[in-house]
Amino acid sequence: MRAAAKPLVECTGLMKTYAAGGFAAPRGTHVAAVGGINLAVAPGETLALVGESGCGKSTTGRLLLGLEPPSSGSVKFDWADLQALGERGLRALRKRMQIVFQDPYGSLNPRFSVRRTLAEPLRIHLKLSGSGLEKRIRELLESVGLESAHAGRYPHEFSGGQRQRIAIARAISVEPDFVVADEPVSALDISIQGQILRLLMELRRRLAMAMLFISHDLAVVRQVSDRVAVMYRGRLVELAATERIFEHPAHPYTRLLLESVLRPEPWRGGPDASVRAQTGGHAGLSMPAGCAFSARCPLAGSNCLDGSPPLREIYPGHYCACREAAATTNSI
Amino acid sequence: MGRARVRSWTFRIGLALTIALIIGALCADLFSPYDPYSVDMDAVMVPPSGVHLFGTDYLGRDLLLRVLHGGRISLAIGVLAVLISGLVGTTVGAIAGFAGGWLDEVLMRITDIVLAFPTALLALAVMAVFEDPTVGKIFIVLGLVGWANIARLVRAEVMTIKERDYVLAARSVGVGPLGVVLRHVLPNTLGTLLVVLTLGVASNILTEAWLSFLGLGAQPPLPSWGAMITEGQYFLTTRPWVCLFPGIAILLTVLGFNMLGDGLRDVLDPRLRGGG
Repeated sequence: MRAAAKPLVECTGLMKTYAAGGFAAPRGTHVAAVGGINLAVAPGETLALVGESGCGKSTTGRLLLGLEPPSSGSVKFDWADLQALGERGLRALRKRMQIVFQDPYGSLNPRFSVRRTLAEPLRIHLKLSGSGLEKRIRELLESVGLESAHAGRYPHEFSGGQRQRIAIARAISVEPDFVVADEPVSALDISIQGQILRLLMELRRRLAMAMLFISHDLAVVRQVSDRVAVMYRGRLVELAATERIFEHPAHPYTRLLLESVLRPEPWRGGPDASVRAQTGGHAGLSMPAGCAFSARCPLAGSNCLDGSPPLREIYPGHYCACREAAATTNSI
Repeated sequence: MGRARVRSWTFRIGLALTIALIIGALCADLFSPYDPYSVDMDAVMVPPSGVHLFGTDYLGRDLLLRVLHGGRISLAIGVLAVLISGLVGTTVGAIAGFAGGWLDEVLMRITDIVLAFPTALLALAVMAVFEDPTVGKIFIVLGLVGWANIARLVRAEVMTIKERDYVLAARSVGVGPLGVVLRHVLPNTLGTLLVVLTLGVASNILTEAWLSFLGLGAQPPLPSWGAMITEGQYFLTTRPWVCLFPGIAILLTVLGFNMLGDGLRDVLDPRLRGGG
């Protein structure tokens, strides 16, 4: 699915830098967690954001929701600029955008009963109270596969999977248009992951929500997403429809990611030598002068050191930020 | 509910000592035929016996009863002062920890100054400003000194808690800054706060004792433990019980509250660290 004419969420030149910590770091040193991203999510679309840990996926998700202010660039939600909205306007907009966190042990207030956790957004945005509130809480619990009798219990009385169901119920309580799911199953047992994923996907369909699905699990991404965006060290390196990216990965980093997925029959066809990259290429905080991936890239040549390569459309709806790959893929 | 109770002997012993003190202090008059203020010149400094279990002081007053009455003063001062400094300390700590930036910087420097100020000097200054020393002035001293420690601990706790996902989740459902602090951050500092306040009672009781010992606190004839030790110090070698019993009372009380505080930390910690 291509991004429709009118995106629901759109960011341009999104950048977030943090002051480098530690007393050894020179004053004024900054680390770019997100280094200038353009991305658009269409209404109802599920866009997966993949990449290794620390590449800025989660930060991007939080920036899109306005939970953190960007260092530069802008985020537009339904044409409203989040930065320009101000604190109150943003709070009103929270009815339309929600988040599900990775760790269900940290995302629920331990002193809040399930009822109180779910009541908070309902009171704020839907002005519910009394029996209307109770009814809605019961409905929500049932829609995420919990019993309404669970409403009086506290988070520590639930398992990880059940806690994630509560967190999902909180996110969908206001029937948002857009949900950021920040690795929503990676902290759960393998046996539970499937259940929670199915629940998320069912709710997404039922409520017609757009979703930014942040993950490093490509098998899961292939199941759930319409489009996939690949991130490396704060930048987008490739963006395409899910099937396209799995069948014709263009960027060497994407190919490396796909090769690292466990195959059911490992003896059949080892990794293509051309994408076998050197691992451990992280050179501390400093970014290479050219393409950020060039230090680990098997295709890296001299022209890769000449500035960060921009995302270019190499096929309708398929964008890639690699000079070498763009040259080869066009001939496919 | 369903939560495994943590066994802590520190907690139990501390609780037992504290409860014993409270009962003793409150019920003293029910079991004693004496009056803590009535002088009996026929029984001056008699050693402990069946008649006077702790003996009597230099005015013939029953020491057991005076020690128990001293417990009332210590408890009242210790607890009330900690409530005042707890209120100030929590407010300052919460604002500093949540707001950060220059406000945090200013509040913490003020806190540092208060922490660096010698308590004895402050006590002398307060006593000098107001004419005659009374119990009420000890509150002023303890309140001025005690909040700084609490503010620092609350600030540190608030700074960790405000980074938790559930706080971000609260913001993402549209809870305003005040609601985030009052409903999500502060209630989750309660465990730590309880420990800090309990330890604060112990330190307040100790401070009251030495302020009174130096004559800067409760004045005769009030049966404050510190003041009682002052009265007995001249007879330490010949009539040791006059000092000994108030001394033991201070020791057990401070030990009790300290153990209660440490025990509370043991009991509360696993739950708090687990995030729920």
